[in-house]
Amino acid sequence: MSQELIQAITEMREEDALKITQQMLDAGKDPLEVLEACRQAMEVIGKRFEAGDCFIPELILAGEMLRQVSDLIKPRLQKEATQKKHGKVVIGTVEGDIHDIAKDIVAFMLDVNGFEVTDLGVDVPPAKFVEATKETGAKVVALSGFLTLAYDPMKATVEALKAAGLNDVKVMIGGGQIDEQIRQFTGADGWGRDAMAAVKMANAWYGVN
Amino acid sequence: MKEQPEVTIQFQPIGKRVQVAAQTNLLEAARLAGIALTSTCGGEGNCGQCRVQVVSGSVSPLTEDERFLLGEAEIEAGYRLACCTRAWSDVRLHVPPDSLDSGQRLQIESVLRPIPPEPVVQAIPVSCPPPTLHDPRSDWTRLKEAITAQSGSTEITTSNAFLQQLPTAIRQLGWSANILWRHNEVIGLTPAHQKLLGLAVDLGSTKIAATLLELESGQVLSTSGAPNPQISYGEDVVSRLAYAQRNAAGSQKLAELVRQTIDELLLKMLNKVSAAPEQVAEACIVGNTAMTHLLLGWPVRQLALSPYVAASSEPLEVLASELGLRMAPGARVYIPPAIGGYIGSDHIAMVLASELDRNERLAIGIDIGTNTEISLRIPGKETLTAVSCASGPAFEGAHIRDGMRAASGAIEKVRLTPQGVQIETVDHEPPIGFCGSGILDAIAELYRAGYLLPNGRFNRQRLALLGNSEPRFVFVPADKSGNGREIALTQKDINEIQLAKGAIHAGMKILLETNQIAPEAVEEVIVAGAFGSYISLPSAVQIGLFPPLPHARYRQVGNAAAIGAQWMLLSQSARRRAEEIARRTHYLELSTVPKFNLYFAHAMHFPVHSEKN
Repeated sequence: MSQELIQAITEMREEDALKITQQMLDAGKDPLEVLEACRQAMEVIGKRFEAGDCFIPELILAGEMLRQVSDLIKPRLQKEATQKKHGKVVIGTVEGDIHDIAKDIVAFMLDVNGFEVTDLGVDVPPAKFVEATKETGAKVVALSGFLTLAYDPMKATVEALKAAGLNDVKVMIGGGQIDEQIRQFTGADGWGRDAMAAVKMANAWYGVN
Repeated sequence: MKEQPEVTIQFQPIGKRVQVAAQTNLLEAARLAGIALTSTCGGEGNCGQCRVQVVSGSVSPLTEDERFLLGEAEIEAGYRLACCTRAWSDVRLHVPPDSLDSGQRLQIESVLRPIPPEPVVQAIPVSCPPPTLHDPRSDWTRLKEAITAQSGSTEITTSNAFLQQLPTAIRQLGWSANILWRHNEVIGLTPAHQKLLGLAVDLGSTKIAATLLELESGQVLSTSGAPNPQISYGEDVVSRLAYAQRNAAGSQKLAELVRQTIDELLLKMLNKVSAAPEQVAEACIVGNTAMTHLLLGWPVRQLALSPYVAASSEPLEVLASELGLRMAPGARVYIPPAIGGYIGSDHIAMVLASELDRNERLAIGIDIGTNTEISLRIPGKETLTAVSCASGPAFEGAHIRDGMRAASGAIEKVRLTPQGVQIETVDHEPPIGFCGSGILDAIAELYRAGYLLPNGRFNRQRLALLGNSEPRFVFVPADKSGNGREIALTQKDINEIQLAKGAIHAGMKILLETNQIAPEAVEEVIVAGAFGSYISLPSAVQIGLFPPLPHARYRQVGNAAAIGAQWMLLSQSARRRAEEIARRTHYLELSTVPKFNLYFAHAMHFPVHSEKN
């Protein structure tokens, strides 16, 4: 049944995916098995995205499907049974920018790849990033920004984290037209073109194989 | 900082030279030389459009961006991106024609009706006795008393700008002239027989369309257009706002560029009809909110960042002289109202001239551009609803590998036939790239013929038949094109169009849904703007840009914003109506609609058509 679920998700058959999930749960399957199938499905979609065989709509639609699947299984998940997470990531779209699509995709891909993600939403001031990073103890912060004008607030956020003494926290930036030059300008530790790049960076920074 | 020695940059085949400090980047040098290189990204090293070939001289090494954006063969041939390259010595450059930002087709005609004039400025003939030692009243007092005698008005004002010209002008005219009368103010003086003229401008982010009209008759005397010179500082509005904000004199520079261009267009038209600047009594300039801010010299930071607030969206009358426009001394420029940060006076002008606000049918008006505004009119309902979709510049040919604007040699129509690819180009010149309507056609045809799957991916089995190793479809091979480079659509290009049409489609869907209207209930779709006027409707429906309504329900009206500007120039009631449209239009912010992202995702796919339209 896991295979069927993976297939339904990768083929964007939303209703089937939900139906299969319900059947798996009714048949007494471990909710973690469902989650594992979701993770594998996302891995397939992620690879297709990297290869250019699918595009943003598939990521958004898959994200929506997985949100609904996890709504179904959440009540059955026991706290102690939850997956072991690789580490924590704080993510948000920087101050002045309200673009959320790319940020949502990155947050979601990090989540299904085993990170505990704190999503601060959009138009997030530097102080809020600092506060959430301290609170969660996250070692990775991901800043998203679509507008050219987002570079200044990105830089300000990196500086605010440093000023708060969070020197061991790694910062990644992404969105829109970001490149190596922008990374240098903002003082971030890494940049990426898409969600898969974000997962790779987080894996590398947390020492995940 | 150490002073850099001067070097000479030579641009061929244009033959221009410019002296700049060593280490200056070549895009900046081109600007200084007055050469407009295309640069969508405003010199950020992202768009790959400002290609130049270094013929001789020493320059900075290749950057990563260039390696990413230029082909190996191009790098081999000495091609560089001007924005990424700094001159280390005297440099000679070859500028390929498609890097030049000129010769764009400018659309200025329309099918909409004229409006009965009701101008805000009238010409009143007056004559007064010349002064003598026994009658030494001042020129202004003398004129005022003559006006009172003529018209009965006693409350008469004027400006310093007019008084600066009065003594000379009234004597030249022999104490008998037409005064230009605007709401109890004297704004100018012309010879008794001369007609009053007015200037209407549609200030677009890519082009400026200007019209010279006779105020009393409403007759169009001359039209003229030019590319918006701010393009060299970033093709999309956000890049320009960033430039205005980053560079100390940036916003002043952008304001001056556009003011100068409008002034030059006006002068050109005046020369054509042998008229004088003093006859031009009034102007109306419409534009999107960002263009209006840059024209008026308003700060743009608050406009560019969330929550995107305009400095003002109220109607404004500003002295023409303040904008550097040579018109009658006290002439005003009317800037119509806008709706919030995203919907500008150009959209109000479009609604006005297409009479969407009075449409008796359930209608939507759509103006496709970098931001696409859509308004919905429900007959019998007081308010109109408007949305703004971030469709991006893809339909203007930007962010597309072989994209260009609608200039000579741009492919504007495409058909795939059993005999092969058939194309039509602007001015029937050899093809050098795609403009928006060509891209739309090309994608619709690729999809119809099965080269593209509904999710926008190339059908690799079909492509393999054509012998393409990487996913792209070649429409014109290198040896058949006008610039020696193949013209193709790549997967990335298709992605860009998917994003653009997805944003528009999702915006339209939410606009209709919020008002509980089914798409098939829409009785009329008014399509305005340059891109909208040239596109093929079947192609637009094929890829799902527009809903699959019978073609008779679509009406392509040309540049309605420009016509709306003329209406507001000529008629005071048109201005009142525009102000009413602004008041009556409810702006729906799409980013606050939770369903937007999902709708957007679905709308990026191509529709599966069950039947032919």
